[in-house]
Amino acid sequence: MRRPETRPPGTAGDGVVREPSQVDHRRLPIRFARLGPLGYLGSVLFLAFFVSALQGTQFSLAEIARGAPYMVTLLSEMFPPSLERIGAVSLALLETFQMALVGTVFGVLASLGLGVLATRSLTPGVLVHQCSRMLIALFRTVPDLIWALIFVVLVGLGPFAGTLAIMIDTIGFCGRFFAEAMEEVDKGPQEALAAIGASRLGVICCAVFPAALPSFIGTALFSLEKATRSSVVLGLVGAGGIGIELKVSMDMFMYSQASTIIILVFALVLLVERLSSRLRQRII
Amino acid sequence: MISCVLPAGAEAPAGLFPGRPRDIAARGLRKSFGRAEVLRGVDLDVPRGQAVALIGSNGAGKSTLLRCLMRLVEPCAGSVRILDREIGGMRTRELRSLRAQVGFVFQKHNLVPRLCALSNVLHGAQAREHSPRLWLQMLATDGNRLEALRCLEKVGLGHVAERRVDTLSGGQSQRVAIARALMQRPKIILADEPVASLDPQAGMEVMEIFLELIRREGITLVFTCHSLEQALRYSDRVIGLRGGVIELDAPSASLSEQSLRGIYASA
Repeated sequence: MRRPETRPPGTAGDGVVREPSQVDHRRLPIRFARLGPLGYLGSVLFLAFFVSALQGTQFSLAEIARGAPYMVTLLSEMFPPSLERIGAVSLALLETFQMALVGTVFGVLASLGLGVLATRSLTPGVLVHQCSRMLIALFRTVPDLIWALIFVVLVGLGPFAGTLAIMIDTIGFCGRFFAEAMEEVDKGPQEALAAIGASRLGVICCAVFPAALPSFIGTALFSLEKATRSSVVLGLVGAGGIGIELKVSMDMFMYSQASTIIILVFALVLLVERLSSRLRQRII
Repeated sequence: MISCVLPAGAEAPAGLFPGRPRDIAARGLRKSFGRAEVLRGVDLDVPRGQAVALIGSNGAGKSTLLRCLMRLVEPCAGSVRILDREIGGMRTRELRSLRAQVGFVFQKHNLVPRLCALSNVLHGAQAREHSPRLWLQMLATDGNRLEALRCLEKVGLGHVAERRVDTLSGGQSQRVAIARALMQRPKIILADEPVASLDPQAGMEVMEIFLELIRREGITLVFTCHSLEQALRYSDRVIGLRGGVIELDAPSASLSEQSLRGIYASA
């Protein structure tokens, strides 16, 4: 079998470096790996679907250009923001944050238990592990707005339905990350406690939870940020919070009031993000 | 062949402590991992209060033997009696109550890094009390906190009780691990290369602590190590493993480093 030549590109084998024009380009390594038939087919299908999606979504730069003057009109009607109902709006904003906080705290607590069951090395059995993983996946994949709709039917309109929706959404988010964090912690301290006869609960609470704590805190704070943003939207389906105020303002063409709400929501979300970032840095 | 290998059926140096009950008695212990046979029929008797050094090259079966004694690794065959109780058929609960009386010190101290030394030592009491109040020092009773502090003082670390263990040196961490074992109020301590990750000075300090505990509190100690000097200095008896069988079992006083080197010769 003939061995491939190994002389460096740009030389003719005599060690003399040639000018770029003299280099035999066929000898250069290829820039991109060649696609196989499946890769080629996949790329073509993806491209075709993307083009059809552009049509399906009626994506149009012309429409954006046509809408630009209306945007200017809308912005001019939004400013200056109206402070007419600032008291009621502030209370609704407070309620929004309360929903996010309570939902997150209960969600995080429930995630700790469910996360343990979903952790392969800590779960009492394979069936329990699979069931808890599936439950977490269900909570995560169904959007919070749908949970809010379900809880509005179950417990009626108001912030309680929104709080429950946030709690379920938090379990879906935190449960998965908590389980992964507990899976990854050093097994040494667990082995040491098991070796001295500590109970399974003792091992989890003494060795696993403290080791996974930084990850728990980081995830929980991200979850609070996420819940704060979600709780604004949940009001749109009657699950409490400031969302309903925003919807009414937009429906009634009270754009200056809507801008007040948007600014307050922006400030709240920013504040929560900044605070959680500070806390993360301090605690972790 | 090593000069002090015991002939089959001979009285092992457990007889160094005549009349004392045997805290550890293993018979025909075998363990395989896949096709690799790590222990090939180990018999071992350790009387109360004896300090035994297990030596042997890497893969000789020292750590596996220690783990098999407490069923941290399930032996394939053989029997083990610890504190006069057969551990083979024990249920989880019984095994836990037995393990509570046996401290286990690992090469890597295996402390919980984010917790303070006192909390880590308190965990040792989990062996006898399964109370949530032992999870953290801030929840524990004053009695338990005081006992944990005394255990830390015994290893000379009373002054670091409130420090997080991930800020301690390797030697200090290993001493905290010993304090945790003491918090169990153990009758036996098994130590798997307790000084392997420490510098010589810290290693000597840790072994001195062990020795003092054995002499003062009558605890039985079985430890593995690679330092022949330490094996001779800190044990009453040296057991040499090679290829999963005991090739040497003799009182430390009758041995020299030279005589022990043979155990590390290739099989």
